Parts: sequence; C-alpha cells; structure tokens
Amino acid sequence: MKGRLEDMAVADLIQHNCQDRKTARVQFKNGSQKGELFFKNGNVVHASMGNLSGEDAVYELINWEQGTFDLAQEVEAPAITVTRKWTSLLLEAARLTDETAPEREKQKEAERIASLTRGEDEKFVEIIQEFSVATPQQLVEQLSKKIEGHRITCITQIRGGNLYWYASSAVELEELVEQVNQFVKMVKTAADRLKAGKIQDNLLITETDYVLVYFLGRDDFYLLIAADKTRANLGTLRHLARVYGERMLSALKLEGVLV
Amino acid sequence: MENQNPVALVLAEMNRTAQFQASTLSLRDGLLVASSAINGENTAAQSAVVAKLAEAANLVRSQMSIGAPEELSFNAEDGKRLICRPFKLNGHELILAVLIPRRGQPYRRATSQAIARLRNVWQAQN
Repeated sequence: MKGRLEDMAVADLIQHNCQDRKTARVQFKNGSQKGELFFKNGNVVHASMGNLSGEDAVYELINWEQGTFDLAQEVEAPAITVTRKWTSLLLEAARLTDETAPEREKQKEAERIASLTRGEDEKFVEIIQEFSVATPQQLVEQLSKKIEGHRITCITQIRGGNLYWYASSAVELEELVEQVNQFVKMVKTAADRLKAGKIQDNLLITETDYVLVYFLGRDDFYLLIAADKTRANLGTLRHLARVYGERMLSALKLEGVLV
Repeated sequence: MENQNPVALVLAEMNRTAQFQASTLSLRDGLLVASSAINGENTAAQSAVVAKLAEAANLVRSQMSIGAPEELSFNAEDGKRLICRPFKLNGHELILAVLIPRRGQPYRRATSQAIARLRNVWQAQN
C-alpha cells in the first residue's frame, strides 16, 4: 500500500498498524530524506531516519507532514531499536511537539487547558467570597477529583506533619511524607549549591507516575500531588497546582496555619 | 579550554545547540564522568547534588511502589531549571543532568539525542 502523508499522518499509520498487530515495514520519503518504521506484534520495534535510529527516529518521522509512504506486509525488522509501547511513543511524541511548538501555539494550548477549569475555578471564588467555607481540606479533595489517574494530594510541611491529604489508593502516608520531605530538602540544597534561587516546584517522573511538589508561598509548606502518568496530563497537573496552590495559601491563612 | 574527552564533547555540543548553561554525566554514586559548562558553572557541585537527588527520588518512588525514575527536575522562580535523566548503559547507572537558564526552554529532544550519542561513544570506547 502506498500513499501520501498529507492524506494519512505518520501517527495514524503507527496507530493502525499497531492496533491491527501487523508485522510490516513502512518506508517514508520526503524529498531527499528517507525513513523507515518496522512493526511487529502490535508495536513499533525499529525505526531509522538519516543518522537517527530508535525512538529519536520515530519522533522525527512523526513530525513529517509531507511526503510519501510505502507499506509492505510481513517484512521483519533488521534490528530492535524501539522497546517503548506504541501508545507511550505517541504520547512522548506529542510532548516533544508541544515543547518545540511556537510560543503562539503554546499560548493557545495553555488557554485551552485553562478554559477546561476556568468555570470551576470561578465557582470556587464565588464560594470562598460568599460563604468563606472552603477549607484547605475541601480544596485538597476538590483538586484530587479533578486529576485523571489521581493517587494522592497532600499539603505538608518540610519540618514534618501532613496537614491535609486525600488518597485515591492505599498509601503509608507518614512514611511517604517523610521520604518526600527528605527529597524536598535535597532539592533545596541542590538549588542553593547551584545558586538557582527560590524553588517554585519540582517534579519526579517515573515509569508509571508523576510526583509534583509545588511550594506554597513559604518555603516550608508545599503541595504534593501524585498521579498515574498514563492517565494524567502534566500541563493540566501543573496548571491545577498553580491555581489551587494560590487558593490553598489563602485558606491556610484563614485557618491560622500560616500567618 | 574545552575538555577533549569524547563524552565531554557530546555534552558540549548539546549545550551549544540547546543553549544549556551546564551539563554533567555522572555515575549513580555521584562520581563525575564528564562535564561541560558555559561561564564557569560549578559542574562538580552539580554532579554531587544530582546523585543525592537521585537517591532521595528513589526512596520516594520505593515508598510509593511506583516505577523507576525517568526524570527529575526543579524549577526556580528566576526561570532556571535543573533536569536529571537517569539511564543505564552496559550495566552502569548514569545520570545526565542539565542546567537550563530560561523557563520554557525545550530540553527533552536534546537530552534524548545526547543520551543516544553517549551510548555510541561509550560502546566505541569499550
């Protein structure tokens, strides 16, 4: 099967071949540039483009918007250079595209993400202004319910003590907070040694999860959010941390926890 | 003068093209393998703190029973960021760390390409 990338994008070709569990080779050509993708048992197993191979080649090919492709069934890959699952490959490609997108596009995406929560945020402001009853615990719970793949939300203090928390799965909270506190202390030490100034947030990305620490105005209070990486969106997570972080700060002051 | 070690050259090229302030490649225990910096950044300090950070991150993920760390970063209010990317190479656990001067500056593609090049250089040397 042959076609044009203007009619069928590389990402769509990956999706179709992987979902159909094809063993195949797709050759791409765009002017003098050439590339290849190989599929086996529902995943991309090898890619090459110019001097690149493996995942880097996949991410380059996904950005091609023009050119031709030629699909040949039952062609085995000459090497295995890609081991990441195809869904994860496409997600990573989307993240890379977002990183390299022009500022205008980034702004549009930021506005789009903001619009997803804007209505809810305005409701919060109204509730706080009208009734003054949005406690830090209520904010923690409401934030938790907005996060896809949520695991834990916690407002805590580096000196110790988890103040407010909500967990969607079983966790040994005290031990976890203790470890996160050690981690945060290390981050602050690192920032000091590197003369990086005051830390706004820090992020740990693991094979399975995002763990975001967002500092609440004063250095010793922070908001900890953990979420399943396959379901949560990092941009949304950061946006929610920023929006709710400000409200939590006000709520902590109202409760007299923060002066 | 820039270190002519091929590993350091990969870091220097990454810094130049991606406009990073400094980069280090260290073993998991903090031993500095190679570094490259613009304007005399203290790469020894960076390497030492990166190893400690990785150790602390590992304790967190162990406590949460979640997967192995893929990336660790912090954002400072002045826009400066430190990104650490652990990876394995021939049984060695290594950490590539880059210091980024500006908020919103891309780093993922540049660090991925550098890791691929480091693998090639490492294999050619051993």
